[in-house]
Amino acid sequence: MAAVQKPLNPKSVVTGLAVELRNVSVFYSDYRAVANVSLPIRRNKITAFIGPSGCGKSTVLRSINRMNDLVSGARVEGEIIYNGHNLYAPHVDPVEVRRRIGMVFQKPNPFPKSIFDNVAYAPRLLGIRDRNTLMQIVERSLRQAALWDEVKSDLNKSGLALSGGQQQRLCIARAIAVEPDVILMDEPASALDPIATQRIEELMRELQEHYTIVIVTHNMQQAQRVSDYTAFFNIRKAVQNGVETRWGELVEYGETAQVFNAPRQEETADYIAGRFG
Amino acid sequence: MLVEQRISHIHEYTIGAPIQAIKSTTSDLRARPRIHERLIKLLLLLCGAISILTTIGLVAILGQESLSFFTRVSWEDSNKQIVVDLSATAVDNILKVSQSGAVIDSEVIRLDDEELRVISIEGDTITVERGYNNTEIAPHRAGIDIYTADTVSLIEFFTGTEWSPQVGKFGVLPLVNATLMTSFIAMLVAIPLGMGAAIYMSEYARPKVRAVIKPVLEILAGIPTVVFGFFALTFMTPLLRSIFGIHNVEIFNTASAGIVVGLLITPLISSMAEDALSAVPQSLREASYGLGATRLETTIKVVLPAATSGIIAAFIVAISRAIGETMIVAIAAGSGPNFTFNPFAAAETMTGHIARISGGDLSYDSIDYNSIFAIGMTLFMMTFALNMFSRRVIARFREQY
Amino acid sequence: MSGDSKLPGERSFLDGLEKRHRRGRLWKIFFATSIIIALLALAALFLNVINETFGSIAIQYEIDPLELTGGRPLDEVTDEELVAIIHQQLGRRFLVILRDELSVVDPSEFTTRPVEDVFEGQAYPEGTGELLINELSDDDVQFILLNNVSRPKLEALLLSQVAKEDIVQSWPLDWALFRFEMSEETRQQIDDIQAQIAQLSSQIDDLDRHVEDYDQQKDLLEAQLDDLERALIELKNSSVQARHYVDFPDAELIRYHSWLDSVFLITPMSSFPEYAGIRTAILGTVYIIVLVLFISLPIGVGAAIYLEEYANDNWFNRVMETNIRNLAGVPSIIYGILGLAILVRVFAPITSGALFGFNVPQQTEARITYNIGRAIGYDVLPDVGYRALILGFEREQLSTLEVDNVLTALSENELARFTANMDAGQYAAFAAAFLNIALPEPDENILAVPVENQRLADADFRRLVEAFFSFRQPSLIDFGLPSQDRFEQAVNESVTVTQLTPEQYNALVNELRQYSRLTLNGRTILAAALTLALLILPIIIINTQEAIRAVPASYREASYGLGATQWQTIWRTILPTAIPGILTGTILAISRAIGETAPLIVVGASTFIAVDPDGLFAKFTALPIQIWQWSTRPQAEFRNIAAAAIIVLLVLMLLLNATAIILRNRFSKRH
Repeated sequence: MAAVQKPLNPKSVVTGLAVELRNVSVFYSDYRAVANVSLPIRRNKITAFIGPSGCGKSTVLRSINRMNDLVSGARVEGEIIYNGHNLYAPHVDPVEVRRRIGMVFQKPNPFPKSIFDNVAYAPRLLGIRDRNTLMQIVERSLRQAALWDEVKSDLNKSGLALSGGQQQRLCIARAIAVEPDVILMDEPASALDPIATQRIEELMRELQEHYTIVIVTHNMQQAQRVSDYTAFFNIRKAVQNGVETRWGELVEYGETAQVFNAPRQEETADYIAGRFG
Repeated sequence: MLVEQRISHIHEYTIGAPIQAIKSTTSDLRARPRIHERLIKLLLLLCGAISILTTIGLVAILGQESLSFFTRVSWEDSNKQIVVDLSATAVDNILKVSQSGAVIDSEVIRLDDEELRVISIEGDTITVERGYNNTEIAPHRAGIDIYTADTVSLIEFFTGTEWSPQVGKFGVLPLVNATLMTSFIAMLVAIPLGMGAAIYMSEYARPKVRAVIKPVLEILAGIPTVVFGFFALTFMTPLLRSIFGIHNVEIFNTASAGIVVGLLITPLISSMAEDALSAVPQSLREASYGLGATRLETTIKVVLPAATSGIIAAFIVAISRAIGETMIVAIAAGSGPNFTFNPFAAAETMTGHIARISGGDLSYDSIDYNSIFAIGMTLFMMTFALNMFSRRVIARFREQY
Repeated sequence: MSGDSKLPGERSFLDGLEKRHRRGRLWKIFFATSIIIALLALAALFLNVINETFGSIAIQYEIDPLELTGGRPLDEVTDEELVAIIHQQLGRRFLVILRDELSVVDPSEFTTRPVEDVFEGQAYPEGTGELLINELSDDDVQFILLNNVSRPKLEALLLSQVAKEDIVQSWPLDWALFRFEMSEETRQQIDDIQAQIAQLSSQIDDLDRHVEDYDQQKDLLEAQLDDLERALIELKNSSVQARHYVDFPDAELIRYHSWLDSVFLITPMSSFPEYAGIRTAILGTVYIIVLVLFISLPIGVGAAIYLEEYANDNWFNRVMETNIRNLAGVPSIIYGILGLAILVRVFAPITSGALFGFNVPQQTEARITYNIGRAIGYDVLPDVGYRALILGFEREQLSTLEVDNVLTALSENELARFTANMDAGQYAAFAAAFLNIALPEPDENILAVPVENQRLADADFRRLVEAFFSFRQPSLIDFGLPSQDRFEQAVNESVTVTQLTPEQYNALVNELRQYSRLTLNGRTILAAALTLALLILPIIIINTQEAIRAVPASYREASYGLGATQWQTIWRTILPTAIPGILTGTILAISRAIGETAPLIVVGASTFIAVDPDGLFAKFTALPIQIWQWSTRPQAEFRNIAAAAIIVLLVLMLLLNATAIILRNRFSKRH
């Protein structure tokens, strides 16, 4: 591992920004999926990414904790600043980044293990073996994820045996077990029923106290309900040599109320009004 | 050419044939018995049924011939004689035996051509039933030898530690032991190699590298086993002998055969295990990486456990293959039953034994011929059970996702 | 929030991370190593085969070729002279060469068919066409060899048959490449050591002649001698030349010798590695594989169509499906056992071809008559004679070189004793045995032999023989069993049974049993092919099922939509689309069958056959069988030819697989 000169300690930096994207472009091999995104992610706030499908909002989200590294041929240009470090600087270890910037996925993906083992997974990676300590971490995480009361009696049950909404909250509990700084959520409620969705939304509000949250959603009401800031992405097209290329771009960023009520861009207004996409 | 055929076929019905003719028949929608269609179906069913016949034939032949192996009577001279003449009447049923305290441990004895069933033994007196097994009751002179019947009991077969048909010893353990030894050594080699290769291909290798390695491993799997046998004898054995000393390692030994069997089944394990690993959903890997796990941690703690049943199935199929493997052990493991746990000593496996004794012009009514089937039955049962088990495990594995 | 955190601090997290990465790298190396080891094993396997196939040899002659040619180099000798030398040296066995090299008829008919048949399509002296081979003059037989065989072949015949070349030692390729030359220094050392050894040995011999007082000195010298001999062994094992120099100074040393050449491919088997070839093995393999294809492809495809297109989900079809999957996992040797018990034994009349009139006994009637006579004590040839006769007759499967073995198996005394007791008929039978020349009819002389303990009238004996012969053709009723009852009946009718003692009668029945077993030999190409077909059937079915499953449902619907029946849909739409998959799967299954050895061993492949297979009912050998046979022989030369045969086998499989790929590409382009 390349040595980290300064530890990426969140407490040492006194700034309102948790993450800042500067001129970020994401490529898959030669294809540019997203171009020139610059965007602040504010600490202990919920930032929502919205836009039509294919606009690159998920791609940008996944580049924040370097999940795109796992896709062969993926490449990120520009800078993503986290606590004064560029996450894409050569010495940065993606494993370390992901420990601090957790992720919750679109489809609930608990491991085929017990509830306890799911939540204790990441702490164990960090070398915690003591059963009591693990138990405390698991309880705290499940409480934070508002799942404790439902599962406390059978922590040894398989994570797969839970309902969809519970599974997703389990995944959130799993993500917060190592106390990350930022939680990325990729359409966390899209596979859930309305009641489960509501629980997740409430949960996000509660988590906001401790964590910075970035959420990708295609549901504008959801973005409006839960987020403090909203970034709207859209698809750009160009025809070069008779070949049409498409890529995503950030259109507008601002406080959620402003973006939804008084969009600065006509495109945003059209999208919000449901005139396209 | 096939496309053309199809087109010309369409022509027949649309342009070639008068539309009118079709119309006149299409108004009649009653089902017509299509005899040739049924015949074809029957014929195809017969093709499929051949597989069932094969199995029935296998089980019947193995069962029947094993049965005749276990019921085959060989007569042994007990070195005891009767001391009083016997007349040719059924009531004359008391034998006086030469040595007192006669130990006759078989239920049936034979005097000349007559078989007699032993009812009780008291001291030197044996009470018998004359003319057993429909043999003719004949007079017997004093002084003739008593022959005792010797059959191979299931207990002797499965617990005896010596297999030498010439002297009537039929303990299958030496053969089974050698088979288990070579298979164990093979798994010792193949599990780490095969799993390592599978994990590398599934979790580490770039697609281009994988596209090269996979077919190369398949080549390894496609090489005839007799070639592996040659390799074991001319390469692996000298190698082992140069490492462990020429006096410690016999020319034929189970270690060399086992290692090469291991190489043979490595591709089997690696390809089945890789399939199982690749079938683990990407989302689980992402979840693990998203929690800050390294690639190794993700592989060991998430992917491997999720693929367990597929991997176990791969192991079982590999073991069953190793147990049934013949040529490598026939060439390199040795040709003589030997109950030993020394991997550097020669020992003949079940398959090797079958191959060796059936190699010559085997006569059909010999005990060797029958013993092939008893050993074959044992082998068949072992591999059949393993295969069934692995198919179960795979089926459960499929349900999981 | 960080106050109650149970997680490790920043420092220890970073240290732990470093450790985790280190572990990750180590394991990655292990994973990659497994692959490398597997690839290395594959490379070692190929290199090992190549290494054994090419390399150095040392050749020695029993008779110096120069001696044979009167001191002239071989290339100065004319063809005519060569043939004359061979004839002169071989005498009667010259005919054997003609039979083995040129005859186109069955060996047993070599002497009974006219020359124009025996050498059909080849040159023979004018006017001799209607004669038998035994009636030709010396010049005529020389003419035949001279005009039908190339110069290199003539030289090879001279060297192998007359001069008896012998490869005394062989070295693998790595020796030929890297450890061939002997340094001048080594040679000096060797000479030195050998001189010392000679000296010491003579000293020891001297001492031996003296009294025991010298024992101590002798021990000393012997220890020295041991050291020297060890040194010599080490030196001579240092290079090819050194070994040659020490052990075979008279042998001709060839640095690069390929065991795999065109002669190897087209020569039949021999028990001497340097003359052995794989012609019969290749032919056997080709016969078997073609037959397997014709049997298993239609049945396999048919079964797959049934399972995929017709079978509905009931218990029978489920059992069938499971059953096929399980059969695919049954060890191949078990199939061999099945083949032995059912195909070879129970179906013997079919697989031996006897039911169709093939393979009726190859033994000469003289021998059968002789056997019957012997069985009932009618004739009392010494045992040794019988042994010779048996060995001789089995020679039908042996090459000419084997004859020498047979002859040497009998000591000269035995042979002399035996032939001295023979009458003309016996001698004829014996001669026939060794030259494999069939006598047309039971020899009158044998039947008329006056022997002391003869108990039957000659006429009775003859009727007995006739009764016996009437069972030559097994019929369906005989299915697998010698029809003893019918035989007894026939004997009863032809001979007054009371004339036979019980011992004679039993002996006769025993003879018949043996005879039936010899006659109904189900260990044929057909039995082998059927066994292998059963073996690969499950594989073909499974592959074909997958190919059929891959045909898009839309094709099926389109065909039904046009009013096609189910079979029309299958025949015109599904099969053509699935053909590439079916072909590829089948060829892969076939290439598995090519390499299968164990089932063939159990089914009864002959380990030594020098005659080309001539049909379904021929005895057979196959490439893997030969590889197995040769691998297990102790002499290094057999390993060399085993390796050469492996290369042929692998190339054959490679060709098949390449064909599969080409066919697949061809067909997939069309669709």
